[in-house]
Amino acid sequence: MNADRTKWLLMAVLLLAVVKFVVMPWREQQTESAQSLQVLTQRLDRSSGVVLNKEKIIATRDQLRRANAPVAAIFPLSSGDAEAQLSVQSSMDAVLQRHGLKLGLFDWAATNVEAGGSLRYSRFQLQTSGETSVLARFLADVEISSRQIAIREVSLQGQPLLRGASAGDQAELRLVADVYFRVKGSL
Amino acid sequence: MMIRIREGWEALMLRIAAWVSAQVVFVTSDALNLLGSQPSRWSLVEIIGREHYRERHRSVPIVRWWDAKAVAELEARAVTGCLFHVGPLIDGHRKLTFFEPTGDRANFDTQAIFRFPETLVLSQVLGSDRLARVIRPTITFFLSPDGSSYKAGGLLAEPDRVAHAMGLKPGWQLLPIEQEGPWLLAGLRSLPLSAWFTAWSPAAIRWIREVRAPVLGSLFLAVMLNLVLASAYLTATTFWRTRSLETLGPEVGTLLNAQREVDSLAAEQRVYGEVLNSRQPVYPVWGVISEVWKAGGWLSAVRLSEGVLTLRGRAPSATEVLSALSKNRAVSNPGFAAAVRQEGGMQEFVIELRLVAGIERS
Repeated sequence: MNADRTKWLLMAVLLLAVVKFVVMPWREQQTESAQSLQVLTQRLDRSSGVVLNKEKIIATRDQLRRANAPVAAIFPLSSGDAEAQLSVQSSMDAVLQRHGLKLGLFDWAATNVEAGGSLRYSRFQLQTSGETSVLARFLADVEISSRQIAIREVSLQGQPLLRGASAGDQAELRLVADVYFRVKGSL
Repeated sequence: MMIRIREGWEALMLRIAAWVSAQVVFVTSDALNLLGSQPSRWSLVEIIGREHYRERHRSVPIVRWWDAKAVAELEARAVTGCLFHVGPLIDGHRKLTFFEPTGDRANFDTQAIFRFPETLVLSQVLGSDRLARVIRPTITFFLSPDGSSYKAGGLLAEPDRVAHAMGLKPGWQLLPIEQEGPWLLAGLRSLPLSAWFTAWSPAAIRWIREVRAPVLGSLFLAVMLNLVLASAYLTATTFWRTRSLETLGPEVGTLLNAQREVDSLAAEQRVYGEVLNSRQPVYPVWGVISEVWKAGGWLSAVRLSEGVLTLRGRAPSATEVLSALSKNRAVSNPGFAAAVRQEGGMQEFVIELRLVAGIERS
């Protein structure tokens, strides 16, 4: 191995060492800096945007707060699924008692399902029986007094037939409904 | 159109062939390119005529081409300007051919990137049953397909004797070559890649050695300069962005929170709207039941699911019930879902219909 070749081999080793221990770490550091700069640029753009549209943002926020408040009030605020279920069962019991009906069956088919945002719902199934006109009033009461309840399915089984409004016929009512509630800790 | 394309293609090929011919220098008694004119300062290929070297062949039991090339390289170093060729592997052996300059070659030291001996190039286009005879004013020689050549003279002046001496099989044919140009071009095209790899001319190697240090140094400097400039740009831009953020003031955080709240409230509003709109009012069902009763019908079961109301019952005339329901504005698409059956003087029916959304407002 002559001196020229030795010199070139040493140069190549030195070059590889510089690439490995200087160029590559430097390049990686630059990549990280570029990513940080990108985040910083986005933050600056966003910040400049909100400062420019300050009045509009505050006005929109206040308007949305005012508009959402009465709608949000429809859906009761609950600290948990169990509390919301207990509240619904109590209110359904109260409505049934108001109309002189007895509960045949009450069952939760699904609980604590996310509906979007802070809203969640639980699905229950209720069964009762009584005179047709009473059942009609009961259904209307549920529909009007409890707006957080959305009735999904209703079936009415005549015992044996429903012959008219004033016939006093008995029927069995089965109801499937979703009850919506807001979870505490979110907007 | 196709004819014009073909003509254009042929014209392009001719121009490329002319350019390549001008880039190939053939060194015989003088050094001219294949077009017969003086070559430019640098050429692509230099082909050394047979009169300027001696041939020597050796067979070595080496399988790997790289090892055979290293052996040939070491051996070729003993003679200044010696070219060599490593042949293909046949029966576990490779044939090394050395082309040793005879001395007068120094007068034609042209500058080319690749350098080949004439016999190596010509042997690429010889068929296995051919014996080439090349005649020039300064030399006449015979060339066999395996690349071995003999200058004509003495006892080996006639093709028959040369073929016999070279061990050609009976039936061989003589191929007289007087204009080498086209044969050399065809031979260059047929040379294997390995031959090109070992054919760097001393001038090209000298040039590469001269320029490699400045080129590599410049490349390294360019990389370092790029890194320095990029770092400077990133540092300066980050500093400027941070300053800009600071000048926006402390209320930015509050405003960003307000913006996030706006997004959240808008999403919340959309969800509330979707939930309230998904409510299917139930009380129109009683209006439909009342229509059935008015038409003289009795109901055994009523079911409402996903806006579809199913009525099961009996009436003196099921058609009258359906007709009455058709006139009700709160329903749409009423129809029998099953066959109407006569039972004890009454008609049993199953009617399906869809409750019209928003009927509570009508």
